Amino acid sequence: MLYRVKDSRIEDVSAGIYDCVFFASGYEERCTHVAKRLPPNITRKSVLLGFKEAARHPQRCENDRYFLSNWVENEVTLSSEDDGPVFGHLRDLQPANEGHLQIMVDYSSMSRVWYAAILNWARFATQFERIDIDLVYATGDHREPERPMVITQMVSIPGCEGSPEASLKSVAVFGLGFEGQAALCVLDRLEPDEFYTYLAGPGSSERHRARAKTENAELIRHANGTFELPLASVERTYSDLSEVIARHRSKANIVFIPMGPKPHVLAAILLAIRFREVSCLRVSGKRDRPARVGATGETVVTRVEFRGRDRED
Amino acid sequence: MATGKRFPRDLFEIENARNLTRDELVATFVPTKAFRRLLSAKNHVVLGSRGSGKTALAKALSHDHLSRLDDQMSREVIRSRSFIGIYVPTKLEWVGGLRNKPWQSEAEKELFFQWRLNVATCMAFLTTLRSCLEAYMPNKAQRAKVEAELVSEVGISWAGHSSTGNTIGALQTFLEDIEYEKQQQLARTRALGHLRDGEEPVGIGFGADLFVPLRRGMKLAARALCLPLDCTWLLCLDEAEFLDEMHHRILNSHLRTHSDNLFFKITTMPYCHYTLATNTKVSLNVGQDFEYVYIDQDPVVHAGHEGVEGHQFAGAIFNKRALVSGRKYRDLSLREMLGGSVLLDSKRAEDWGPRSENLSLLRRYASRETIERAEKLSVNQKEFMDQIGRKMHGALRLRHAVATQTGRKELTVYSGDTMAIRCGDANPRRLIRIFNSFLLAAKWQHSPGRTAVVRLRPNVQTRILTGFSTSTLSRVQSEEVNGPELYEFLKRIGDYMHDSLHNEPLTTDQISSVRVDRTVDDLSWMLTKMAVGLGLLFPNTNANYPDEMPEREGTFRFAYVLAPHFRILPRKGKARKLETILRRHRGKVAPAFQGEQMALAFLSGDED
Repeated sequence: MLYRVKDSRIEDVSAGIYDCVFFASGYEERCTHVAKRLPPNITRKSVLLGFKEAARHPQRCENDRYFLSNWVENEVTLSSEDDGPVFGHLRDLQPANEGHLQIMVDYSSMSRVWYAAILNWARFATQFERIDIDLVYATGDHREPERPMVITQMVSIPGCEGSPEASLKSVAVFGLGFEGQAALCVLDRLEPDEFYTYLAGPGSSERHRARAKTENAELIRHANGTFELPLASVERTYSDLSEVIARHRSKANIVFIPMGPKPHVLAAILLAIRFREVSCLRVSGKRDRPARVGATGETVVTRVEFRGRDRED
Repeated sequence: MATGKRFPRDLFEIENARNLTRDELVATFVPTKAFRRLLSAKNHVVLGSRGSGKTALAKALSHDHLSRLDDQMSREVIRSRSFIGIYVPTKLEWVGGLRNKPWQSEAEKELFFQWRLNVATCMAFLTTLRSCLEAYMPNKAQRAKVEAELVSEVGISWAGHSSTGNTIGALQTFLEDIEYEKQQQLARTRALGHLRDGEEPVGIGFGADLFVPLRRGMKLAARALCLPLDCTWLLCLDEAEFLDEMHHRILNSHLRTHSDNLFFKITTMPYCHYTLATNTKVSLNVGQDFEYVYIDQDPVVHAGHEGVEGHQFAGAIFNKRALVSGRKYRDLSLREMLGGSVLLDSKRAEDWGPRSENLSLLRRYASRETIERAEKLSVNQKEFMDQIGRKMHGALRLRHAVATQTGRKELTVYSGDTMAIRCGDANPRRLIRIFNSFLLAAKWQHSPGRTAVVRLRPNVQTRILTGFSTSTLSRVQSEEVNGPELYEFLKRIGDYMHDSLHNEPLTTDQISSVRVDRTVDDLSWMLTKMAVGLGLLFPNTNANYPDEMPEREGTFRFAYVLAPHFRILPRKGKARKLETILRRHRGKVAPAFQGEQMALAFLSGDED
């Protein structure tokens, strides 16, 4: 079972010993930020997941060169929706400490499907007594996109389908980022009975927090409640969101639509893993050009522990 | 339901039928001609733009709603047990759990869809079963006995064992559990690569052919409830636009097979019945296997002549909600809150006297030919009013109001009850949102025994309607797949209509529609269909075939909801060829639309 979610520090990760670390390489500048702060000897095995999309982007090529020179011999190129190769690597893992597997995931630029796959696998891999996953996120410095994101797909994150019961009312919880129009579009499609919003506050900067509020002003105005949750603490976000949904559990289908920063996405996925009446939707989109995202220098580290037999329950 | 009943919630706050409770929906439902048509032993595919009332229709057909409707035909159907409706939503959250398994083969996807739809229809069947027991077994003890026996039989038939309980609630819990366990089993198998030792696939009974478990349940229920032999079951599948072409093909196969007493009512958006193909070699035949029912601007039952119907429909929606939404709405009328419309309300001949402002505006803004024609007709007051006065009044007033708007002076002309209703396009959701926006801005005067609304100032009304209009257009940008292109497309049409009204000499016909012919390019046609789906363009359907969507040829009216944003008149006028409109703007703005190819192609994936 999902035993504990707690905040950690990059220093602890630097001092850790892992059976496997996962990195992702894409078009964002921040892809390599965490890797550059860690010594390669922290792990017995490294896996680099490369986005099949935008494979020739100059920044992507630069990121690939760094990882291939310092961390891995090969890159696993896969679609952002494909979790098969991720599971393939996980199934081969053997822990250095018997029954206790330790994994690190740099999810700063990683597809939600990939890190959800790692979490799902850990939840189901009952052959291990304990699995600890350190999830590391390099806070992004977002430059403003010129045109809004266009939604291409709205699907459940695999393993986070919940248990939608048609006769119950629906409660949606939106994690807000900078795509206010897209969030409104999702709201139009979902049409929940009630909805709540949460955004990063404190976020990576006051400017980002203000921008998220401005971009989502209409959604926030109509919401049944809006919460500011710290970007730097998944533990706190997970706990506070549990309280937000507590009074609706067993009386409603609860759906999370995390469209904000990844630590908030992670908290939503963990809640969907934890509670069967909670589902988590993944909203994908396209832009006219890639959003430039650098690293602010800050990191958010979360340790997720799975323990005991019958973990999926 | 008793008409005096009030609900604790303000129902103006809830514009979607999906979010209304059964009693709330029953109390606010406005029966339309389409509703009558659907109560029949025929397969139907109901087409309606977003917010047009598809869910309300589908839900109203279900037994637990129909049995509570204050409507003579419905009461007779329930009494005679002639139709029993089952409502099955296929909403986004449900579909989201189908589409998130890209690793599945086509065959696996089909089987999984059938499995889940079997469970969903059985779940919906149980809701209907409870309603039937309540309606047809008034004796509680007898009802409990029949329920226990029936549920036990149905449970054995679906699960292969009798441990599913002997109440409907227990059987529902069983279905919820296997739905969840199935998804978990799939996720686990995907993660680990295999089932556990000795583990069986969950819910094997629902892997049967589509609707087989449902039909078995129907058969057992018919026997237990002594339903007549000619009793017809209506399976109302809502929101089929969220499904894929493959799902529609599977459903079509069941529309083709002409089942004995099960008929389908499938709701979807216009142009979102994705295929007529079936799983056999023979495609569906419209008119023979099923009929389309197009419900946009579906007139209210017993309405009068055209033009009045929309007003009556909107009035009925407002009044029904006001009646049950709280004390302060008692006796509230739209006219009291909003007053009349300067642009749209019918005008008197006296307003066109020789020294009238209207005539002065006509001389100022109309084309030379129109002024000459007006002078000739002025000898016959009736002909003048029919051919000039009524046709030009609104356009002249609007043009003048916009032309003389300076500085901080606010526009006031988008006001009045007729304007509010017209901007709602007879779309229930749009109307309720507009009504609610006004009610939120309204101020109330309290006196002993009565709460009265203070009439909203025309500038405030105009501000509200313009904001609503702009927001409706703006949201289009994030629509799936081609949102930005559609936004640009609609903007060009609206800008063209604006230019025509405000920068060219006025004639008796303002441009309010676009005409599409066979030469239309693929992108423009795709965007036209998308706009129809969103209720931002409305096809002028053929009077002989009012339910068929035009295919690459036809006239489409620009939605009135967009009129305040573009400062155009929400009134039927003439059409202009789409190509002419798009060509005029090409090269002026937004390169994304040029060359009929979208420039947006960069997939952001999940990286950010």
